[in-house]
Amino acid sequence: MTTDTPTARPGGVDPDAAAVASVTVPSAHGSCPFDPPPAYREAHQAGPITRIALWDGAPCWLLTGYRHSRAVLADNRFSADARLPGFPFITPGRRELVARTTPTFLRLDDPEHARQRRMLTGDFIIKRVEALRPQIQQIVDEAFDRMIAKGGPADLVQEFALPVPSLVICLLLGVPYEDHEFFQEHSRILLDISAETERVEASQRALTDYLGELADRKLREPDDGVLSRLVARGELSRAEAASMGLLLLIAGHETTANMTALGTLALLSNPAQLERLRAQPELMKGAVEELLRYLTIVHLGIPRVALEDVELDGTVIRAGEGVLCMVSTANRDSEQFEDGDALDVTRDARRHLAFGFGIHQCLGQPLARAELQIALATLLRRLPNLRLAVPFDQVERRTESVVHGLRALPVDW
Amino acid sequence: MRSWLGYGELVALRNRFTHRTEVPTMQVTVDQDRCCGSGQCVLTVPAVFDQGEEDGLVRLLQVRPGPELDADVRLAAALCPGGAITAHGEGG
Repeated sequence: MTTDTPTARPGGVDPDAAAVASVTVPSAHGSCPFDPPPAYREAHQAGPITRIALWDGAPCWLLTGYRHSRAVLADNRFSADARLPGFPFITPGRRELVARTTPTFLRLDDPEHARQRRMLTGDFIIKRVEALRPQIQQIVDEAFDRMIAKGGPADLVQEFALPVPSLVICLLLGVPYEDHEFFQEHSRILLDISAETERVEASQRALTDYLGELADRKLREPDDGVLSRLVARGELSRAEAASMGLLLLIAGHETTANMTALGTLALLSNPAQLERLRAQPELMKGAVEELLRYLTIVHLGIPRVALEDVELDGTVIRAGEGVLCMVSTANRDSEQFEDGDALDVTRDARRHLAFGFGIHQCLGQPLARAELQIALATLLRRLPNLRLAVPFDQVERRTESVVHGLRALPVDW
Repeated sequence: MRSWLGYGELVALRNRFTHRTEVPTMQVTVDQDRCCGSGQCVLTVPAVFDQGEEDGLVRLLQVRPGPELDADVRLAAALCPGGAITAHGEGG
């Protein structure tokens, strides 16, 4: 756990300065589509706190264990404000992006973070999401009807995993779904860490303009969507409203889409777990938590910068140094999850960090849970003979994205 | 008017006459300033926690849930990302 440190000497000799590990972030993925990149796992074998240098030479700490990631994410001595010196960026493009974007609560500290986030907390309460379940079920059923009518084989990503959360978030925000090709394509580029900076900027501009115009329209013609209610409060600038709308739109469809596709592949690759879940559908809620833990699709880590010197189990993280909380390896940490590399749908995985931890923990998690539970339960029920339509090792992965997942998932039934 | 016996004493007195062994002494407090509306508490123990319809922030339904809820309340406190829930006292 973190403690205040009387031993930290600002300006003193840093005993760890020489011990910079050769791990790079981002690191290449291994052969298993469910596992975090092997380099992070190897680093963890050597120790849960690794000092690395980022692409720009900036010192950064890689936290690969459960305990440290959880502690840092809950500690307000670590900031999420990307405008502060020392904040770790994993590519030049990510840094450029921040410089050009109006920050949302995701990249702000309290009190401004709380002010913005609390404009939305009422929209994502458990009760409201529970009330949405019949509509989510209908969206899921209709996606299946269309896919089954077309006949197999089909790409589960394009036919099901991507449209379902896109339709749900559009419904909730009040974004017209007919624009889905536009926002899905630009979202994909925005999250692509291998895309050229100019392309990322162009996509960012296109999406921000789109959300800004949509916000203007909601002011003139209010509806009962989240975006309309947000602008009606009159507490946000146009740029802030556009940024927040964009955050919700991207977070709302990219994450759930990739969890749905990757979760399906994980179950297909673990037939015993899949059979267990078919036989006992009441296990689904717990199974979704376990899939969230096991797959933890944010492989690049959650970035923070230390606001003051903080001691972490004897290691001093200096003010102004970056930290990457590697929640993907944390969620496999055997100290917290016994046999953590195994998928076990009967495990109590609720303490996972797949939604992050601390005040920035995912706002839309009740929605994500409801969508995943309904989508996967319906998938197992309606397609009892679901199977891969290509060999396992030919399933195309999205290794270049901030959100890990699958490019396509060819299936038959 | 204030009772001349504290809650703990009342429980002890009741237990002496009813021979009950379990004592609901755990007390829960919440800090709305730290709440970030994740809903983890409502998901874990809906009998003890709720969320405001408008602000989405935590509402405490029971200050002293029975001992049968001790473990769940402690889990809710551990899962709360903002550290807004505190479980005081014995009972789990």
